Amino acid sequence: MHRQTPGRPDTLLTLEQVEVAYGGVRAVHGASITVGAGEFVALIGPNGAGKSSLLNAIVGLHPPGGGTIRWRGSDVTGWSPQRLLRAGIALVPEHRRILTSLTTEENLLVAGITTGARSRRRLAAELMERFEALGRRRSAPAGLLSGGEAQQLAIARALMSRPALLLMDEPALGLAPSLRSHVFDLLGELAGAGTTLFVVEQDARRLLEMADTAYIIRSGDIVASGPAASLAARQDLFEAFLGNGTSWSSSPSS
Amino acid sequence: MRDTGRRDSDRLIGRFVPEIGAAGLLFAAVTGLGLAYVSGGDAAGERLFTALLINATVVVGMQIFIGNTGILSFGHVGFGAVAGYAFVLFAIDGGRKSLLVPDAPFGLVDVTVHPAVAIGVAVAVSGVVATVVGLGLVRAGAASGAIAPTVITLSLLFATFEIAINWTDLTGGNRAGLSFQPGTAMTGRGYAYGAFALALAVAGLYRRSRTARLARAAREDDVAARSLGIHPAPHQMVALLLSVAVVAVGSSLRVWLTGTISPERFFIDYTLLTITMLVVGGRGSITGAILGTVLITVLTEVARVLSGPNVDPGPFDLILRPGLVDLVLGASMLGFMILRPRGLLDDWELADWLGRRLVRRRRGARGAIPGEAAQRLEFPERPQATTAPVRLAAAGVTVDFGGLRVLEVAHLLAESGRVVGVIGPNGAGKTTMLNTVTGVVTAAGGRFSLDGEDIAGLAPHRLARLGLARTFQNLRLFAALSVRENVEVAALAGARSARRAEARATGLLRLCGLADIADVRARALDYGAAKRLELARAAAQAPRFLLLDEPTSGFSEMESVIIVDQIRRIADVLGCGIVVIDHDLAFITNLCDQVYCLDQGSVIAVGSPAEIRTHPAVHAAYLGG
Amino acid sequence: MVEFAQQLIDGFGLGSEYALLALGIGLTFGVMRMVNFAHGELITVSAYVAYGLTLVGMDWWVLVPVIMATSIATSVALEMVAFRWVRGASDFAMLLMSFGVHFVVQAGFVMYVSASSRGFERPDWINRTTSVGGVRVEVVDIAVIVVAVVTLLVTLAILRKTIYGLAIRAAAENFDTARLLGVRSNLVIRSAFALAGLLAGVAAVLFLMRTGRAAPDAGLLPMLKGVLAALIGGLGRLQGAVLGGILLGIVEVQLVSRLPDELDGMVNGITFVLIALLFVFRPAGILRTRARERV
Repeated sequence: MHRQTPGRPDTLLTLEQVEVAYGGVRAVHGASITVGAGEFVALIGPNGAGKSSLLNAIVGLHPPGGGTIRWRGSDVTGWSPQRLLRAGIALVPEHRRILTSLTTEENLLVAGITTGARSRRRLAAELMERFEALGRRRSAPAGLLSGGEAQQLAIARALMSRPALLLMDEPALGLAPSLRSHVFDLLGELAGAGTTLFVVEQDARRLLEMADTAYIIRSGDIVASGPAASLAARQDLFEAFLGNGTSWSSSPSS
Repeated sequence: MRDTGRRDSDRLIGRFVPEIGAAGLLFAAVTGLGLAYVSGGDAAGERLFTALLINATVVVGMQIFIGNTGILSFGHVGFGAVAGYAFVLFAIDGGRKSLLVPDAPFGLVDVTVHPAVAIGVAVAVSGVVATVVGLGLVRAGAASGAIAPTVITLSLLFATFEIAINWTDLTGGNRAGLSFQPGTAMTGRGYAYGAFALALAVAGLYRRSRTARLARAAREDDVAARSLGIHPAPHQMVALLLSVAVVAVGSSLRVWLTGTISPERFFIDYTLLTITMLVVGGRGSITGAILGTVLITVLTEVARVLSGPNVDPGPFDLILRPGLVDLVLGASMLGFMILRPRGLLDDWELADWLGRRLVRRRRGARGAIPGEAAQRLEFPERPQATTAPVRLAAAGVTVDFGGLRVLEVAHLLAESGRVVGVIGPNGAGKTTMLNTVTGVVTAAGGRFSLDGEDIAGLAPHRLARLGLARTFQNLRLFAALSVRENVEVAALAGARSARRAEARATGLLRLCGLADIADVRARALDYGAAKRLELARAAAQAPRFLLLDEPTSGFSEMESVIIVDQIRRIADVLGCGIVVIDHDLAFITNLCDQVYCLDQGSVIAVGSPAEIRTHPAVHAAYLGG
Repeated sequence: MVEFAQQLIDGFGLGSEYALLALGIGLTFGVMRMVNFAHGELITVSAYVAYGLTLVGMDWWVLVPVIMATSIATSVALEMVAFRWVRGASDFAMLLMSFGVHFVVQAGFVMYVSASSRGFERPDWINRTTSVGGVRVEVVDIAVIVVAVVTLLVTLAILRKTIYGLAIRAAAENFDTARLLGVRSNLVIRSAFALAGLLAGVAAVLFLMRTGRAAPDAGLLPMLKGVLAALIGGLGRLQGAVLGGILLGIVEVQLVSRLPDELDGMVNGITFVLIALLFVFRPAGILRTRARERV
C-alpha cells in the first residue's frame, strides 16, 4: 500500500499541495514542503498567513481539505493526532496550551500516554532534570508557572513522546526579550542534538540565522523557499511581511 | 408623504399578512384533519381530537420560549400544573368544592367564577410564578449557557409535583386528584378551538415583534448580541411570560375538558410528550411545533391502541405491551437527536414562505416596490460638520489574564471622522485592547472616556448603546437569522422607530452589496459576504465609533480592496470614528489617518502611516531585532 | 448538641451518596460537555439486579460486586450505544439525548419487568444501632459514610495517580490539547463513563440497602439530586461536585428536622426551590469559576 516518495531516502515529512479550510476560509491554498531527517526548517510569514492552520493539519487536529501528507514515505493524511504522535510527530502548540489544572509533572506524564508506565516516569524524571525550573516546580499547579517556565514545560511535554520530528508554533510568543533568547538557545540545543525541527516563528531574523531551510507563507500561499541564509539576505523580506502597498494605492472609486 | 404612507402599509402588510395567513392555514389543517377523523362519531375519537387541539396549544406555547430563546425548559408543564390548579379552584362550583377541598385556604371555597374568567386567573397566577422563576433562569443562563436553566426548570417541575401532592388542602393530593363535572364536548371543543387559534396568533405576531427578534439574536450569539446593545434578559422574560400564558390557557382546558386534575397528569410524562412533539417537528418554528404535535399524536395513539388490552399482540407479544408509548416517545427523541437534531422542519416557517411568495407576486405586478429606489439611508442625529469632533479615549490600560500581562499601560485616542489603525505582531494585545474598550474584557487599570464622559467598567450592551460598535476577528453572525434580520436586529436594538430601523437596514444592505441575498440565512454565506454582513450589522447601530477587528483576515488582496472601499463608504455616511486592527501594514497605511503600533502589550510607536512604515521599532517588532 | 451531631452525621451520609453521583456526572460532563440525565438509570438497573438476584437467594456480600460490575458495564454500554452519536453536538441535543435515554431504559423496565415497584430483602444488620459518645447512630449510617469516603478517596487516587485519571482530567480541561498529547478520545470518554459507573454502583448499593425497592423510575430523583449537586459545585469542577453533594445532603437533613411535620413530604420540593433561588444570586454555582472567554 505504501508508496515510496521519490527524493532523498532520509526525508521525514512531505507535504504535497496541502489545503486547509476553516468554515468558508481557505487558510492554506496548496503548500508543498519537505523536511529531511535532522533538518531545521523555518516557516515564516505574517499573522493570518496560515502557519498555525498548516501545523494543525500536519498533526491531525484539523485534517487538511486537500493534498497529501506523507511521513517517511507513507500517506498519513487524515490520521488522528494520537496515531501521528505514535508515528513520531509532536507539536508544541501556539500559546503553549498548558493544562493549568494539572501539576507540572502531571502535564509531562499525560503526554507520555503513548508509552509504557515505566519509561513514561523515567522520561519525565529525565526531562525535569534537564529543565531545572520544571524540576523545582514539579508539584506546582501548572497554571502558576511563569511564562518562561510554561514554555519549557510545553517543549518538554512534546519531547515526552520521543518524537522524530518536533513542530513548534511560535515558541517565543508572549515572552519577554530575555526569555525569547532563552527559547532560541533551546532551539539551537535541540537542533544540535540532532532533533528534526519545523518551527513557525514571528521573530524571522533570529530564526533564519539558525535554520537550514526556510519557507515564507503569505495569505495561504508559499511565496518563497530556499536555504535560510539566502532568504535572510533578500531585500524584499520585510515587504513580504508587511505587504508591498501597491495594490492599495488605487481603491475603486464609486 | 403619500409615499411614506404607502411604504408603511406595505410594511404592515408584509409583516402581518403572512403571519395571519400561516396561522389560518395551520388552524385549518389541524382542525380539518381532526374533523375528518371524528366524523365517525365515536367518543374516543372526539377525546383524541380535543386532546390534539389542547396539546397543540401547549406545544406552541412552549415553542414561544424554547424556540426563540434557545433555552431548553423542562418546567413548562410545571407552570401548567400551577395554572391547572388555579383554574380548578376558581371554576368548580362551591358545593363540589366544599366536598373536594373543604380546607382550601384564602376563602377559595366560596369563590366560583365563569370558566373563561378562571382561565384568566390561571394565566395570572402562573404568570406570577413564572416571573419569579424567570428572574433566576435568565441570570443562570447568562452565566453558564443552556445547561443551568434546563436543570433548574427540571427541578422546579419536581418541586411543583411534590408541593401539589403534599398541599392536600389545596389540591386534594395525588390519589384521587380532583374530579368534577367536565365542560361538555360542544362548549368545550369551542374553547379548545379558541385556545388553539389564540396560541397560533400570539406566537405568530410575537415572532415578528422587535423583542422576539432581539431574543433570537441573543439565542444565536450572546456575546455578539450584547455588543449590539441587546441586553437579553428582558427579552427572554417577555418570551417566558407569553409562553407561560399560552401554556396556562392550554393547561386550564386540559383540566376542564377532562374533568380531572392530579399532580401526575402535569409531571414528567406530559413533559416528555410535549417536548418530543416540539423537537421532532422543529423547535425553531411554529409550523414545526404543529407538525410534531400531529405526528406524535398519531404515533402515540397507534402505540397506545396496539399495546392496549383490546388488541391481541399475536407474534408481536415482545413489543406490543404496556410501556410501548413511552418507548416510542423516548426512541423518537433519540432518533431525532442523532439523525436530525433540529427537527423535521428545523426553522422553516410557513409564514416566511408565504411572505416571500407575496413579495414576489407584488413585485411581479408592479415591477418594483414603489419608493424603494427613493429610499436613502436614515440615521438619527447625524453629526454636523460644525460640531466639535467626538473623542473616544483610553489611557493607562493594563490587562492581566491569569498572571500573564497582556496589556501594559497602553493608550488609544480615536476621533469622529478619522480612521485610526492599530497594528502589531501576533500576541501584541490588539484584540485585547478592542475587547477592553468595548467592555468584553475587564481591565485591571486604566481610564476610558467617550465624548468626555467616563465609560470605565460599563457592560458591553451599555457601551453599544452609547455608540460603540464592533466586529469580531472570528465572525460572530447570527447564523440562523437571515442576512436582513442580522442587520435589522442591530438597527432595532437602539432605535425608537421600527420603521426607520428597517429602512436603515435596507439601505445598508444595498450599500454593502447584500440586497440580493437579503433572505439567505447567514450560515449559508460564503466568507466574503459574511465579513461584509458583519460590517453592515455594526454600521446599522448608527455608532459614533466603529471598531473593526481584522476586517481583511482570510481575504485575498482583491477582496480586501472591496472591504476598504466599503469601510470608507460607511465612514462617509455615518461620519463616525473608526478604529481598525490589522496586521497588514499596507492595508492600514491606505485606510488610516493615524497608526498605533503595539508590541508585547505596550504602544511602541504612534504616528502617520508614513512615519510608522519607517519606524525602526516597528521593523524590530515585526521581524525581530 | 447531641441532636445536632446526629443530624450532621445523617446529612453527611446522605450527602456523600449525592457526592458519588455528582462526581460521576461531573466526570462525564468534563469529557463530553453533556449533563447526563440518564445517570440515574445506573441505579435503576442496579436495583433490578438486586431484586432479581435476591429473589434467587444470592447473599448481599456477593451481590455488591455484581451490582458494581453491572453499573460500570451499563454506563459504558450507554455511551457506546447512545451518547457517542452526539459527541460534539449542541447542548440542546445532548441534554435531550440523555433525557431520551432515561425514558427508553425506563420503558424497557415497564415493558419487560413491571410497572409497579418491587421490594427485596435487605441485609439484616441494616437496622441495628450503636452508640458513639452518647450519640445514637444507625450502623448503616456509619457504613454509608465509610464506604462513600473510601470510594471518593479511591476515585481521587485514580484521577491523580493513573494515566487514565490524568487523561480524564486533561480532557476535561481541554479536549483538543489532550488529543494533541496522544490521548485517544474513545479511551478517555469510556474511562470517564466507566469511573462514573463505578461511583454510581457504590451509590446504588448504599441507596438500595436503605430502600430495598426496585422501580422503573427508582433512579430519577437521585439523578436529579446528583445533577443539582454538580451544578451547585460548578459543573466540571470535580471537588465542587463532591462539596455540592455533601452540602445538599446536610441542607436536606436540616430541612427535614426543622420543618413542621406536615411539610415533611415537601422537603424535596422546598430544596429544589431553594436551589433555584441560589442560582438567582450565584448563577455559576457556589464556587466562583474563572471567566476565560476569548472573543
